[in-house]
Amino acid sequence: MSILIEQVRVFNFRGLQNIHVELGATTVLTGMNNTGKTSFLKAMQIALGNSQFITQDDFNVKDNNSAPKIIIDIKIVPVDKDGVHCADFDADWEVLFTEDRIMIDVESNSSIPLRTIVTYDPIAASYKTRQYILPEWPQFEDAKHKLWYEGSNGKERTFHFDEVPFYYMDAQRDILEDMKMRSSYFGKMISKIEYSEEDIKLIEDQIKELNEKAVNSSSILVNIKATLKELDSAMDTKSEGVEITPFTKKIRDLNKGINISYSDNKESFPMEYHGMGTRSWSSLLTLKAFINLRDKGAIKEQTPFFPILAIEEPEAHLHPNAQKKLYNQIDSIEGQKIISTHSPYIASSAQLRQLRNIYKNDESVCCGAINTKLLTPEDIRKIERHVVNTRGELFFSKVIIFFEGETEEQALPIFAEHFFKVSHVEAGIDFVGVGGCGNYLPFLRVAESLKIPWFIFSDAEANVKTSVRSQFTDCKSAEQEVDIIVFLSDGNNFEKQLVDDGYIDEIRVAIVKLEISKCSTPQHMKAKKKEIAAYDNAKIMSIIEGSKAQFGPLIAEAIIESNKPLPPKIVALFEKLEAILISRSANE
Amino acid sequence: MSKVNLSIIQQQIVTFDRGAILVKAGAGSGKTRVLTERIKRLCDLTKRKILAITFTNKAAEEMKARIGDLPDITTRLFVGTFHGFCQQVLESHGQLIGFPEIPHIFEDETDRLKLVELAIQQTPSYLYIYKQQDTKQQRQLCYNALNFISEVKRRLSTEESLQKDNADRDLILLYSSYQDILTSQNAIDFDDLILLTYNLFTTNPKIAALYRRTYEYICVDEAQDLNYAQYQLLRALTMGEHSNIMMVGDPNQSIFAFNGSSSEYMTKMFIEDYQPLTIELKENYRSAKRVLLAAQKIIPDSCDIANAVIEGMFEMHKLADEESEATWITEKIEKLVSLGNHDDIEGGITYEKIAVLARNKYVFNHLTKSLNAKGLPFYYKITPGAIKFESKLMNIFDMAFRVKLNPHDTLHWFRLIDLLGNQGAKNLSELFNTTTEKQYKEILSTIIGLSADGSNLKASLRTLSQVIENIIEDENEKGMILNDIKELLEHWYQYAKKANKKSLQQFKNSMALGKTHPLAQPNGITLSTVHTMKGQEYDIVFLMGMDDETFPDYRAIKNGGTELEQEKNNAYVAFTRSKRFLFVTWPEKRLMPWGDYKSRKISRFLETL
Repeated sequence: MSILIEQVRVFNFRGLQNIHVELGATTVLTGMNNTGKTSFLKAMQIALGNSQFITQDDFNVKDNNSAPKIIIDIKIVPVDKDGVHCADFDADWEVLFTEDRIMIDVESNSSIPLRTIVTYDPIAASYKTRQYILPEWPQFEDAKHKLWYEGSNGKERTFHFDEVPFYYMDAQRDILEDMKMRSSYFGKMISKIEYSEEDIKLIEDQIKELNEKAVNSSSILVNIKATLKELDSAMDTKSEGVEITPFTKKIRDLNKGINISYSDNKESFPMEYHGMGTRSWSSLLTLKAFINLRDKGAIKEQTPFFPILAIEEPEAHLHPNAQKKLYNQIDSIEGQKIISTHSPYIASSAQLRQLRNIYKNDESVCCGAINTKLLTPEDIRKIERHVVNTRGELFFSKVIIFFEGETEEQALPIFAEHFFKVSHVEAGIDFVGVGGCGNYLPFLRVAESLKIPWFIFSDAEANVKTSVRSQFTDCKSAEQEVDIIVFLSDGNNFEKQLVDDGYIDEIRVAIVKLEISKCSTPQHMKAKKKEIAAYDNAKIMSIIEGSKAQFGPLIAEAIIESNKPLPPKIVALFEKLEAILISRSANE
Repeated sequence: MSKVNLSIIQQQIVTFDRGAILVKAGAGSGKTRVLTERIKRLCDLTKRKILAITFTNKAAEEMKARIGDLPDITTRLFVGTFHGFCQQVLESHGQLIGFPEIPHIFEDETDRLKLVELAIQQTPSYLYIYKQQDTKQQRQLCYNALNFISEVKRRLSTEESLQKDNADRDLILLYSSYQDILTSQNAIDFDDLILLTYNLFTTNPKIAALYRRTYEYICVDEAQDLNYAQYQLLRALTMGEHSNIMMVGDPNQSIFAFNGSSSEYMTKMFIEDYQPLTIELKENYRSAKRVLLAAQKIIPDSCDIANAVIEGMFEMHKLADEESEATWITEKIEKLVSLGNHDDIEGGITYEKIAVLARNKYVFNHLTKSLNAKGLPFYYKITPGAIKFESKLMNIFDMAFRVKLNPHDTLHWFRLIDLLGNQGAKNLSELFNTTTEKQYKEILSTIIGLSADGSNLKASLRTLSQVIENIIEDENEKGMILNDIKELLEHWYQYAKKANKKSLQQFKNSMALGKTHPLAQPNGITLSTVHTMKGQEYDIVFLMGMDDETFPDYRAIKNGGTELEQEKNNAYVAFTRSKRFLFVTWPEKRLMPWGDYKSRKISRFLETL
């Protein structure tokens, strides 16, 4: 029996004007830069950890007005041993939280609806944090359009329990810094090292022996020691006098000089010589060690324990292979974990239901999640196989273009760079071939759930159009079909459309380019050119359809080099895209 | 913390673990102590909370003080009244019955009378009666209406159940008007607290269960005062699952009968519903048998001796004079303290457990010398503020002294001219001129002649003493006045030896702050007049100076009647300040301040002893 933070709402904290996020035991926050992932973690820190870091800049600013207060609501619920939400807190938690923090709703479910309010006190010139237990967990917006933060605060009660510690791991972690600081998790653990009397004697005797051996085996040290002995004559001392100890003498000084070395293959290097990746990763793992230690203590003393970890970009400085391992290492830590990340590897290691996409829409920052309860296991499997495992970068897209085939995948980025004058990566556009006109749905569901704007650029054979339209209906988008789906002219596929649009010469140029590179002699080249010049449209179509992947970029480049306008259907797509990009950039 | 002595039966209650227990406790049986000891023990026993219900906030405060500082006591233990408990429950979980925030609570009767008056005015049949009544009758009508409403709520009835019970239509109308007025003001009244909490528990069994788990142990003090609503609330809270209830009470002491309380909830219902272990605490530990026997001689049938278990000690001694009286007491105290332990005295005999009482403070004169000589620690229990003169004349001196220092002190000025009987005087010199009584003239001339820096105070008071010696006839009176003057001089000495730049004003202020009293810090043996000791008890009490005309005071004898009756009562109070040992002494003769001996008789109250 344990607990879980099930929901978090934030009002007017930094860029988060009004956001609602549901959490699981592990939650992975994705989203573009500057959307508010860190702000969300910091808001949780105010409610569950400390709020000393607050400054005026943390209050949301709208129309040049700074908000008067920040509100953070957190709903803590009881869960059973499998982590499933259950009706009542077990005895240990009930005793800890006491009946005046536990609320029972009309469905007879217990929870702790905790509200934290931060205000500025102009007289004390400081920020005040007050906590309340809400009479009930409010609806996000009720029938009368009253928002969650507009209701009664309830009674004032603090919520700070050693049994529910909050740990914040910021992106700038470094094991070297941890080793220097007593207040770091590493420092705290080291300061608690205890040995038995016998062990101390044994180890100190060994150190003594080691020191003598080290001194006596070095003629330099022997010489220094002998010379320094002359001090004795002046000092009139009867004790041992001069002592040279290359190794620390007392075991209590151990923690001052403790060092960690790590070897990748043969050589072992101290941490100073390792890159930031290893140092950052090590710092994270010492937190894990710290929590394990406390968890063991709690089990021993039979006290409840539920740590909450907010981890900012655990992937910082790590190479992809390490990033892939990180997720499982974090997931296995006791307690509740909220991870913000920019790593497709971490996002794709997570389970679908754990993903939350923080995004900015026209007005404010919102959170998108995939509601796995509405999906069949087959749907989930498809999404995991086709989207998550191969296309983790989608979680960080500003906008996604879906299409069927390979030619588009090759050609569209080239057209886009020409049209937008920046690379598609820079513009935040992802081009995703779904591999067949029947495969759109899992992708659409992910994009819809995570609220990532998307478009379909589709072939227009009759059966294809029917299939695409039905998938569009199934994904339950709020958008109009005409706004987000661009069909080619009826009956066309991408290649045929290019031919219809009058780019036959450019296609021929592309074929020539490819074929010529295969010719070994100038005569052969000449003959090939002549041969290609004589191809009719049907022949050309059959060639490019036979090896789409190869021709995609060549055709696109040929069209651009020809200085002809871009194909009208592509222009139509990009114009729709442009509107989205402009509105999203305006928010940043 | 000293270990507490408990009788076997008390111990049995304290260590009783699980289940229901009923303790019928007589007066002085140590029930509060048993209750607090049990609560302390339960705090160690459970990680959950303990609910201790008392019937007044004062009782709750006393219980908290007795329990003292245990770790997380404030979070682990709720000590308070039913209303206090209900208020806390509603504050936390009232939203389930429509109170997301606790409404305003009308607890004051005058507020509720206002509300009920409004309700009467909205109920036509009563309004008709009301209009024809005079103010006094209207007031009575309001009271009756309020009592009716309160009674309905204490029966846990609702408007619907009133209707079902075929109550009078007008009564129902009145009740609902009253409730509507409350609701419109977002308020509830005192009775609603219990009614609403009862409703919350019965309509939301999970809330009741939460509180049932939270409060693993429930203790109800003064359970003889339970009423129907309170008892049903306990039932709803425990719901037959939880039976760690302790009820403590004295069936003979039900005093709240007016609010529907009955000792039967404790003596009958509780036994039927919970089958508690029933224990009777009859033994009286408050006072010792011998002390009670002696006190009964002063006022017969005043106390219950049959259940007193502690034997105690009572002795009365006649001594040759005050000096031998003081010596006897000093030696007795020395003996007792060196004895260290006595079965009757819990925690051993120390100076702090001993008090010496007397009718007036001058009786202590010889005793303080004797205690000082032996080096025994003692202090005067004084009421804060300026010194209290025993004689009327010196009280006049005190008033005139105040007026001299502060001519704007009209309070004392009016009392002064009232006492001297010349209303026309405008100031002290006028008062002096119009006063004829010799002793008052002497007082006023002394006051008028005092210089502001106090330089002639000592000399003036000496002169005054000599004059008094000659003009006052009554020797008791004369002795009292001379002692008062001596006392004042003693205070002056205490002040003057510390003050750099002396002034009468500063002297008066120092006295008021108790700075001039040499022995005012509580430490060692307590010396106190009977009056300052009221309401306090000591294990060992010496009552000295029990000669007639000292106790009862000569003035009371002169005036007789109620005043003498009062003195008798005072003597009884003085006796019962002792919990264990009481020693009464009196001297056969007294040395008067002017050097003569005066022979004394035993106090008339003690003649039967």
